[in-house]
Amino acid sequence: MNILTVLRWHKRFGDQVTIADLSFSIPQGGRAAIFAPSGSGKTTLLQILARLQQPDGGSFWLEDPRPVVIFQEPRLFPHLTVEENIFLPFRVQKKPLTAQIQQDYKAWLRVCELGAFRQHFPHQLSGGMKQKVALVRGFLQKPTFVMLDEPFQSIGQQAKKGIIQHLLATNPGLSMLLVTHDPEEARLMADFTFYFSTNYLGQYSLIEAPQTIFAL
Amino acid sequence: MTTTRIFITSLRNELIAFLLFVGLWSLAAVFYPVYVIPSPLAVAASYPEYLPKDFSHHLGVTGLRLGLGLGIAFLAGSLLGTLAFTRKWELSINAFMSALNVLPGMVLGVIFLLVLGIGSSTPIALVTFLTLPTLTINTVNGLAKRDTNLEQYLASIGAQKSHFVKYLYLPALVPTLLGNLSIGLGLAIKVVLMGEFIGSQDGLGYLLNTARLTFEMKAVFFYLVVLLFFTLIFQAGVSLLSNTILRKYFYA
Repeated sequence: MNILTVLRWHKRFGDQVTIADLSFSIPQGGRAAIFAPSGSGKTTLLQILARLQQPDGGSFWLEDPRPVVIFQEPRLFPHLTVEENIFLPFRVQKKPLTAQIQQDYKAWLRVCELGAFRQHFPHQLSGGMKQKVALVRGFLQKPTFVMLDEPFQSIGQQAKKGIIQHLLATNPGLSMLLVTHDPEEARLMADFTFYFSTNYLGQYSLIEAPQTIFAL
Repeated sequence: MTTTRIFITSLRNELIAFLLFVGLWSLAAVFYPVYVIPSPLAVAASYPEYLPKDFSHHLGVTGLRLGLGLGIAFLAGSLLGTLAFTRKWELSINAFMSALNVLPGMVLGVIFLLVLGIGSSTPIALVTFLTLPTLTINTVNGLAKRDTNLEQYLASIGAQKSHFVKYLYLPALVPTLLGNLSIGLGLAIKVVLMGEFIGSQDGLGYLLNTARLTFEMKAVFFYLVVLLFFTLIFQAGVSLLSNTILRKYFYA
């Protein structure tokens, strides 16, 4: 069974074709990466899936009614502390902060080395720390499907590996759509990759083992 | 920095502004006779002989009219601006408020005097009516500058309209609202004085008008100093608020 099925999507901005007859699917528990040139519509794809934009044509089925999106920029609220930012989705969705969530929260803070910064405001953090806060905020919700738009851009290699290992260890059944420029990220996180070589999203090559992407 | 130190720093800035005003006034007084521009020393030396016995009453009613008029305009402008923005009426409201903004204060003052009569109502209505357009337009413009990335994030987690107001619109408005208080006060002082010139038999505007007509220039300058002093203290208060409990809303 698929968690996501996209069927014959089209999207254009004026004369610029961004998505042309795109179809793909991700099975339940599948972790897919999207590899495509800059400006080819990857962010638009995620925004349509997050229902922040509409496609011009086509349809899609997403089994998870509330997928988690982790954007390219941290998108933290400047007047809220790190802790308040992380718990914001729980407050908005009126989900209780159970003992299990508090425990997971502490574990994530340890992995991301944010323990000493819980009461700090975003302007007091470095770019990498802000991005880590955005990741914790997303992953703490224990999503079944997560969409990530180049989420590790300002995070160092070692920290990135730690975060990915912790995520996969604590969410073994997680389904994912990862947009990335980094083959290492795809290798660590995804079990197959949609490889686009055009400047729009349409035809792609499906690469089952992301390690081979280096050879392309 | 402690609250006291922040307040002292804010007051210091206002004191510098006050001293600058007194310096310029003293310089101007050198070139004109005392019955045109009396020096600060001359005004201080004759204090309080030019003041009426019930000066504190006049000061109190002006303060009250100013507070009520500006308070109503501030609340109404913030509410109207937020409503206009969230309901997508901003273009119509901005056009309407811009049209209101060009109405001459003197004409409105006479109309309010005829409708409301002599007393506190005329200056209060005038302050409310003449500051409301600026405050409403500022509020709409402040909301237009919100972070649309955060708006998208809230939409992605399924936020309701009330969450957008609580977590995005109101925090984005705080700097604008404080700016509104500063701008609004300057405007409101001018207008309340005009209202008291036209439609009142008490208040600082009434005293200022009487002193002006009888060429009591020491009294005129004393009242101006009182107004300036009040404005500077108010600005120090606004500055204190923006540097302490509301500081976090200025990081965006």
